[in-house]
Amino acid sequence: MNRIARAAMTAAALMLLTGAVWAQEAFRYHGPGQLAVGSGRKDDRTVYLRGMYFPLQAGPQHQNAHAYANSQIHPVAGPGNAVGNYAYPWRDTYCEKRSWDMPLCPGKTGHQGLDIRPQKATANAFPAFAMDDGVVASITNNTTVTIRANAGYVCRYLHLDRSSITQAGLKIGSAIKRGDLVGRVSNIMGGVPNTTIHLHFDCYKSISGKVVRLPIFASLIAAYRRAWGLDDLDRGGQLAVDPIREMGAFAVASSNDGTPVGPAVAAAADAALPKSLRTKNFGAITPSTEPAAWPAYILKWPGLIRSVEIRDAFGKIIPAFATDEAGVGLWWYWMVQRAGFGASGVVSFEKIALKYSGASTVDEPVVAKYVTAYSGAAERPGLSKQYFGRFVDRKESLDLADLEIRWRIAQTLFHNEAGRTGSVDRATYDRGVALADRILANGFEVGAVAVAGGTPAAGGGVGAAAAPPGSVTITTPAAVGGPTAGAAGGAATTVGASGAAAAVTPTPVLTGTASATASAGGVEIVVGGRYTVRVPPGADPAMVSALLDILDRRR
Amino acid sequence: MTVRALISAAALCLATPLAAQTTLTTPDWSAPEASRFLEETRGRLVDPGALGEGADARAPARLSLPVLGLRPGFTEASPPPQPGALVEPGLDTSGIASWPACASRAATPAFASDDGGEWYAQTYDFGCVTIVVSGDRRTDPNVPNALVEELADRSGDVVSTVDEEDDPAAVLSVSYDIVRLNVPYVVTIECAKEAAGLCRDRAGHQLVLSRLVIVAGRPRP
Repeated sequence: MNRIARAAMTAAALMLLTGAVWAQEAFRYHGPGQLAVGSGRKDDRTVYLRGMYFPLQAGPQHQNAHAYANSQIHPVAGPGNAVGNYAYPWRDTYCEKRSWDMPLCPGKTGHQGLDIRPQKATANAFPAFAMDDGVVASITNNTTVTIRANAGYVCRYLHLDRSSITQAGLKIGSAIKRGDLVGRVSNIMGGVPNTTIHLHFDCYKSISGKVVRLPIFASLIAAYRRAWGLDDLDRGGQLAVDPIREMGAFAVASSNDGTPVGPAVAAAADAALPKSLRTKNFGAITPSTEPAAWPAYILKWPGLIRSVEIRDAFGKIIPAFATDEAGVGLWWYWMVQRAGFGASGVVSFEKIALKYSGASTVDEPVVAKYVTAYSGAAERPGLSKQYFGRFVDRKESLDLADLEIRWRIAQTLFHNEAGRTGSVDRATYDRGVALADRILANGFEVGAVAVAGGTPAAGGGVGAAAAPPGSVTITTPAAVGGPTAGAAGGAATTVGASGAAAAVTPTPVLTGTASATASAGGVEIVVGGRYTVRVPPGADPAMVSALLDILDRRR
Repeated sequence: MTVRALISAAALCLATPLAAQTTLTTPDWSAPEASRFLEETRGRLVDPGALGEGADARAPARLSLPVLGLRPGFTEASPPPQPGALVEPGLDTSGIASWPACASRAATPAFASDDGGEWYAQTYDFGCVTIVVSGDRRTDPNVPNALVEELADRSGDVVSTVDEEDDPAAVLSVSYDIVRLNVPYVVTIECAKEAAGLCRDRAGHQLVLSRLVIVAGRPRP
């Protein structure tokens, strides 16, 4: 990708910070090729089926129904139709481990399609729709419906309810229109109920005279986004990065200490999510006071979102965070510092329960509640068995210095708070712990990303004079008030430096609510008349993302 | 300009768009089996019934690719039946040890095709076994950048399965992506649970593939 292209993509990504995206619920996804286990196709974000209709009920046109593309063999919430499997984030399953051929997969074997769960694990309830105008190529006794699009590609729908296909009026050889009912999602395999409630969807087309089973995860993301009225991010046949919804899209610099953290996600509005996920406060670290009296470490914590007020069962506001890593980091900080276990301490689930409950002794009933959830009893183990692979006695010593033990403890506790598995993945957890470790070591004011008050350019435009050459700069006009405390005349934020920005005559390419000026010197973006971002040629996406992150926090 | 204009501008800067145009492959009608079929059908069209239910009267004239289908009595050791003397469509299952008792040997296919006669699909319902054969002349000549390397060294048939458990024993649907007579075809075998043995029997699949015979089609520019 050339430099201007990268900058332009960043501009497009920045648009996502405005408008409807924030009003939508928390659709999140891992990028194409990012499998739960194993390797998918790397760096292939091709939207092979551009404009495809999403094959399941989804979005405002269909009662705001959701759909969940994820793994059948690596479910996040246990086997089968467990409720927690019908949830975001999405996962690509193309190339997921299977025994037979798949030439486009790294190991030349793998799954050739995607598995998509409907909103709920109810058979014969959620409709599937034709992905394009075409012809019904076949209907089988196994309830597989195949549609050949007039555009020349073919898609298959598996596991449908048998009667629903008939009720949809489908006949082999008949024409079908994009969005027409195909049937309803069920669990039929081999002619009988024999799998989970989901749609196996795969597509192929002839390319250069060969049948190619297409990696369609990017196409499906684009289609789902359209179904929800979102920009589909199809940029010339490539799925652009959504720094908000795509998990791990960029390594984003924390405003605290430069520790890479993931993109912010607007999950707070999704009432269907557990509170610990909505707030990204996975350990449910909740002060007993109102925010004005919260401990300083919470008030200073990177990514704290003060505008979100989600209360726990005791009526206390759960601190909410912009990133998963911030939430993990807060929990680890609490374990080490506030609970006093230390980073290399030896704990037990009973000791953790004591601290979590706020009780004075382990004999108090409130402690038992936590202990039962964590450890349980030998005959009826608690949640920890899922992560330790065995019963863990309440008094068993657990060494926090052991990174695996520490991770298992975190999973157990996070599971208890969320009521389900999969709060965060290991990589996110590791980054969150690293963030907390930096804060524990360096305090709150050390950072590679400095937010500084400064004198903005006349009119509030680009031109913070102090910015190093090649840096990515964001300025806020004085007229609308800089978001940085004490920056009376506006504020400038500068992140890093990467190459030299050439002095060129800017060429307007866009004006309006969001505007941008592209030139050989990069792209300048103004969002909502408030923020201006200068993206120089060769800018590191991580730096740009850091700015997006900062914008996110200041909205 | 609008926000959308910026997005469009961004799109121009990004990767090469995929071309929407497609072309038609040229079937190898000079291959021995194709030549023989053309010789045997010289001057006449096959009956639409040879294609299956749903085939209209004009379908045999419209199809411009060798329509591969299943006919009983045809094995590698014997020539295909005379197109003009079609027997009931079905499959010679001799030698296919895994062919299940619950499956019939005869099956009238259900037929689908496009208006241009460049694509077809036949669905053979044998009861607890369904075999779908489709062929398509339409192909995208533009190999997406991401696939250039993979497709360059692609050769031979490719078999993929629908297997939701990563358990070969649980495979109840297999698809073979094959090229015959310079045309890509897909042959899918689906098995009911009681016929699962067939879906695991690769040798049996090869016998099925070997018993495909040209049942219709004629050259067309």
